[in-house]
Amino acid sequence: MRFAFIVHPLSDLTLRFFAVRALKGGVLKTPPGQGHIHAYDHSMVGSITHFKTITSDLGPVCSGHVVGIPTLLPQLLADQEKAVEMMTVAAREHARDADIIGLGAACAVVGLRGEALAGVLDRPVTTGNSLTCWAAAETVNLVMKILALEPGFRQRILVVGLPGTIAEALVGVLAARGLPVEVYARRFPKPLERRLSRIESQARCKIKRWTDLDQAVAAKGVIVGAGSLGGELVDANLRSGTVIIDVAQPLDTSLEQRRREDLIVLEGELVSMPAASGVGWLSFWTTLYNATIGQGFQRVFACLAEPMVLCLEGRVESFSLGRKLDPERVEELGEIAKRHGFGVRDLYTGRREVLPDELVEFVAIPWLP
Amino acid sequence: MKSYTPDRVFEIVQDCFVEALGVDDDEVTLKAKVIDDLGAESLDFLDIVFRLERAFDIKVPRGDVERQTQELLEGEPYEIEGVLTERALEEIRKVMPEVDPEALRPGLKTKDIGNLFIVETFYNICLKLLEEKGALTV
Repeated sequence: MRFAFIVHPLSDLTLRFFAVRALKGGVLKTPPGQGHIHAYDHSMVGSITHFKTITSDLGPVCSGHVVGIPTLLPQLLADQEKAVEMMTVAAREHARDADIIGLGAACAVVGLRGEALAGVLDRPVTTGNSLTCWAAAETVNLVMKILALEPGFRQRILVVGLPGTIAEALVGVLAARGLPVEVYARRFPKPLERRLSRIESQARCKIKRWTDLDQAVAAKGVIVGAGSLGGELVDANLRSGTVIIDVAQPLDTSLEQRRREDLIVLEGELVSMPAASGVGWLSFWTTLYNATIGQGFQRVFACLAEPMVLCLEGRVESFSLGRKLDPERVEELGEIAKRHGFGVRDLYTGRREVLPDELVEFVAIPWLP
Repeated sequence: MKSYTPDRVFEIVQDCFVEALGVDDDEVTLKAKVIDDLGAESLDFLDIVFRLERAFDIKVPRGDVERQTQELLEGEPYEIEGVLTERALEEIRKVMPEVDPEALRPGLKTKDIGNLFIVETFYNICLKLLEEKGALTV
């Protein structure tokens, strides 16, 4: 089976990369910003890279490619109808052979989070939110496991980013796994309260609510940033020795926070590929694409892995679509992903691997309050 | 061209909120605060606008409150270090008469304007755009 993954450039650099791949000469001379590359130019939609062979640990094989639209985030948000039109062109003209369409970054946000595109295509569309949420939960699990015996570490997970779709579903998943989860939101209006109460009654637990961000992040433990538009932790007074898992795209932490030596900010959306995939899926452009967007060797963002998993399972359906994200379905897809060999096996900060010993040593440092 | 009465406009606006946020229709009153009462997050605003645009075949301009306020300010500063100026607050009261004036107090940050939005804000925008295209029946 084949998948296609529609993405937009996250920066000027990726816009130029997309433009070069669409073989439009002269674009490298354009000034920063949308420049001379028209945001809604159909001729600038094109294939960015191919994933030639992805081999499941169970045997099945799939392949796919990434299709880029030349529309930066502000333009995507400014005219959602045009954004949907660009994605429709990408799917119809550049992904004819794909059995399922995955959506990356803000492509998964505009047009009712995939629903508008799914409404005009005759193939399933998936936003990748389910596997993203699962990857975040698995990263939390791995960190908790590594630090379980550390006396200086407090077994407590604070989720920031509610009432965002992924943040809410993540709370549901972590609570159902029996993990000690707490939440921060600026406010807890009735609809959010209803949903949290439902999670509490299903998981038979009590979820502590915080409305003061500085107080919320002050207690030790793991903080998970899962905001919908990023920047949720930028104003937080993060204390030395804090372990953060940043799931958001754009990220919830600032560059300054990620550079601080007294914090560890872990990637929360990366999953490892099945070992059997080996190097068969790599090409020059894939390697360059991975480097440009922050994926590494044998690692992909979970939103990209979602259509891969669905293809390998032979279950091409609109798995994640719209606002609602059901924790049980998140776990269901995660189990499928695991069977095929996807998983969160290592921790990364930026593009560097964080070894378990390093994490243990970091937490053991007697940081000054 | 299809035309709408104000009552019909409200019904459609209400439906859009119900579908976008998964709330009950009796919660979507004109005075309901979109974030505080209905629990919307930033991305929900995109969903709501998209639904309204499709339902009425209109184009809701982004950043319209700021644009209209800037016009009224005639070159005076709109914000200083992310905080709205007192003059800007005065003008926003004119641009968004439906908003509780108490909520427009000094110190309000530009990024928090979305917190002021009530269902009536969207209803008024739709009425205005429909009137401009001659699709409003009074």
